[in-house]
Amino acid sequence: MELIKILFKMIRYHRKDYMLYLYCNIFTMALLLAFLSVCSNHSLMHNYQVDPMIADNILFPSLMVCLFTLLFLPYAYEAFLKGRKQEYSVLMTLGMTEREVIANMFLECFAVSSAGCIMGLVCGSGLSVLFFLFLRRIIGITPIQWEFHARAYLAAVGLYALVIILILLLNIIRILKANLSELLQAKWKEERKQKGSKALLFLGCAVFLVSILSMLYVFYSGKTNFWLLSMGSFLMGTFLAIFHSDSVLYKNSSRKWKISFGLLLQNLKSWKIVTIISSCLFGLIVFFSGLCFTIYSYSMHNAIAYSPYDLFYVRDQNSNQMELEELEQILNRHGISLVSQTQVCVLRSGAFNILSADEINEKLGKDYHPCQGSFIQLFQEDLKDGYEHELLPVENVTIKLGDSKKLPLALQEQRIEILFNPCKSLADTTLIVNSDDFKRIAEQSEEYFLVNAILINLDNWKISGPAIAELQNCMAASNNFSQEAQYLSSLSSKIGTYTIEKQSSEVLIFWIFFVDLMFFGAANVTIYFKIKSELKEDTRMIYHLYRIGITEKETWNILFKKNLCYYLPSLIMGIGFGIFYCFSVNSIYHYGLMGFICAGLTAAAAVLLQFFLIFVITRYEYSEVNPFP
Amino acid sequence: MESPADILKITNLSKSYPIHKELALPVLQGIDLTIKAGELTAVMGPSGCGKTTLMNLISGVDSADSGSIMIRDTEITTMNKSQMAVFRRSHIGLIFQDFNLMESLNVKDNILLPLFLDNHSQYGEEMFQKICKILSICDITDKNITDISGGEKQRTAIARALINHPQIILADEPTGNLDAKSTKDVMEYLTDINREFQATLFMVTHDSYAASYCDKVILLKDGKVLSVLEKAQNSRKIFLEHIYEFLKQIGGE
Ligand SMILES: Nc1ncnc2c1ncn2[C@@H]1O[C@H](COP(=O)(O)OP(=O)(O)OP(=O)(O)O)[C@@H](O)[C@H]1O
Ligand SMILES: [Mg+2]
Repeated sequence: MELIKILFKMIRYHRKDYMLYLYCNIFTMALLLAFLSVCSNHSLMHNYQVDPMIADNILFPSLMVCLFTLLFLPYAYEAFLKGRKQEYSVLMTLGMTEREVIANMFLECFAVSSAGCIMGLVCGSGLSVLFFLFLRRIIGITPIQWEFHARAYLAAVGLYALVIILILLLNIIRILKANLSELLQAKWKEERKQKGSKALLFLGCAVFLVSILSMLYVFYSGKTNFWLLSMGSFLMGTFLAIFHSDSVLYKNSSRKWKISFGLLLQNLKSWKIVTIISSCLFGLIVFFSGLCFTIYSYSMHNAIAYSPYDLFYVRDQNSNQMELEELEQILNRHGISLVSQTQVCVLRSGAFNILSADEINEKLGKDYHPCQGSFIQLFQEDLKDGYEHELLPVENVTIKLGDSKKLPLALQEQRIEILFNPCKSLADTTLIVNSDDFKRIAEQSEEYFLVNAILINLDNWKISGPAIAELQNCMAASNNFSQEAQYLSSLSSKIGTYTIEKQSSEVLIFWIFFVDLMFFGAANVTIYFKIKSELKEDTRMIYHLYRIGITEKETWNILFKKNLCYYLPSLIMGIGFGIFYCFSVNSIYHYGLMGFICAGLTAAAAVLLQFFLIFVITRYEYSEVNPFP
Repeated sequence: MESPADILKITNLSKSYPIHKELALPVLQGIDLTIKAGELTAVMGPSGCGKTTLMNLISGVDSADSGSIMIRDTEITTMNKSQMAVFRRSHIGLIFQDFNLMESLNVKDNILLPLFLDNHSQYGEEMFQKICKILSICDITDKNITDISGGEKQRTAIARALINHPQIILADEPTGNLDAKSTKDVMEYLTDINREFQATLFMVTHDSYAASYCDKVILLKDGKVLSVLEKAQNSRKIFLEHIYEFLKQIGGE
């Protein structure tokens, strides 16, 4: 009984450490759950009103959050345990058995973790509810709403439990293996055991340089896989160099920095871990925002480029049979008038759309001249739309005509031009043939059937939304199709694509904001956790210095420089990775400069915010540490 | 009364610390010692000669490379850590050079800690009062460890080592932070305890005066036992002079 009372007294004495560790757990859990909830939300991830590329951009950061959990939780536990180990080892010299120590560790870890887990789940739910509320109310995307998915909760709890159990086991094994006299000094020894070596520093620098060179070479020769490989070695080289920089930094640093470096070196191991985690987070912020802002900048342009006509649909014997007069009446009722109207014949099968060159040239003012027996393959794509394009040629097409006759066609040339709006009632590949061939196919083929593509321009497409909705309803009513068939024969309008693109962009921008905020928060929590858990030690150090004689201003400078050492390396590395990576990924799609600028701007914002935070944190630390009466 | 059998028997004890991959720093090289039950023994020697290391080995805090340590009839070098822990809390009182007190507890809890670990706090109070009086720390028992002086910490550490009547007390410079008067009090108290409970004291010290309270002084140098001075039937003063003389000869203090 007495022993339990004593243990409680110890816990009360260290309550600040416990609370700090608890907060870290809550934060991590909340972050994890919020991202997993967003990920598993059906209304967001499978929404027709939102561009599917959004889904990819949601999955990627969520994966990164899982990775963060895997790295940060063990670190937080180690830092927390570091303080406790000292006490455990004293208790062990007084005769506490290992079993008792381990039982104690287990209980403690279990208590704090389950509290952290539950509170984290509550906070995470709140966060995700807020996220969707904001999306609905402020951005105004009403079909998207918060959903409860037990899967998300299970996954979050599962991952969390797995990490906790693993680190607990690892530390128990470590205690079992350690010698008591080692444990007594663990607090100091573990941190300073690994001193940087010059050889590894140079190795790191060499790897770094070689990777950069090979990346440049590979970049211009366009081998993506190898490029990713070099990216990996580039990261490793950088980390290696940074981690062994203490071998030269401390000796050669100016006197003014020496004390700050000394404070840093006191907890070198945790500094390395923190630097890896936060530089990844900073890098992700810069890369991800740069990427998404670039996507945003061209997605609007794409909406217009891919929809050359204000209204486009396909008519055949069964669907969308509406007289032009009726169509015009409906449009007029909504105050919109029809400016031009063209009809183009399309022969389509499951695989191809075939157009007649003469008709296209005449009606759409184009210039296609396929010879008899050959075709022009048309790619209706904009090469500068920010996506990768695979222009695979169709070399030969053989069209079965009736009576077992065949019409072989060969590829004459490839053209890249957008003729029609994206439309679900047409096939993916479009071929343009000579009008004689076209006639033969139309008359004799049983595979191909003739449909009409209707191309309409309006006087003001931006307000055409309600009119087109009504048109769609009328046509659907007269079609009398099943839902799926109706979906395939639905209208395609400029305002439709534009609205989807606009909403997607808004969701994307909001998402970037959310991700950046969370990641920036996570990076700062990681570093702040370290600063805070070292506060006691630092206070002692500063007090020793104070007794030797330092001024208040010097104290401030020491702390400020120390915090710079904590934040800047990861910030600089993160920004370097982020900008570089964002530039190169966007370069593949011809938006390298844009990517560079977007990432650069995000980085600048991050630096400004971070400096402000360093200032605030130093001020807090100074007020805690300050030995001056 | 028990016969003054050997309570501690060390044979051919060696210990080295790894410095670099292949390199090791030999600290203790073949130590042989025998301590009789109830004896007061002081270990002296220049700084860094391995005194604390020897203490750590005897208390099982660190493990030896080779050799054997018998306490009573128990070989402790072959014990596992849990057995050692239980053995330590029932037989050994430890006083560390750097105290190793718990900052999170106050003086009283620190002193009573070994009893709590053994789950019998009943007979603690009386003993606690008695020890506090002798060590004159009655006034500070409610203070936090962070708020007491170096000497007070030392006395707290001594009190903690004595609270559960250990058979053997291992003390690493128990008087290192004390003034002459306190040193005298502590040494006299340790002698009293020794007489009253037949507790064996094995202590490291740099202070010849404190050493002169002992029955035997072991001189360590370069990881070996240089010589052993016995007090025998001499008075404390004469023994003190012996120690002085000997230290002078080997170029110490
Ligand atoms: N954990 C360790 N790792 C490496 N070397 C060590 C370690 N502990 C002690 N040493 C070295 O072993 C030697 C003996 O140390 P020890 O602490 O036993 O000396 P000591 O006799 O107690 O000295 P003092 O009188 O100053 O307390 C010293 O040279 C010390 O540097
Ligand atoms: Mg020592």
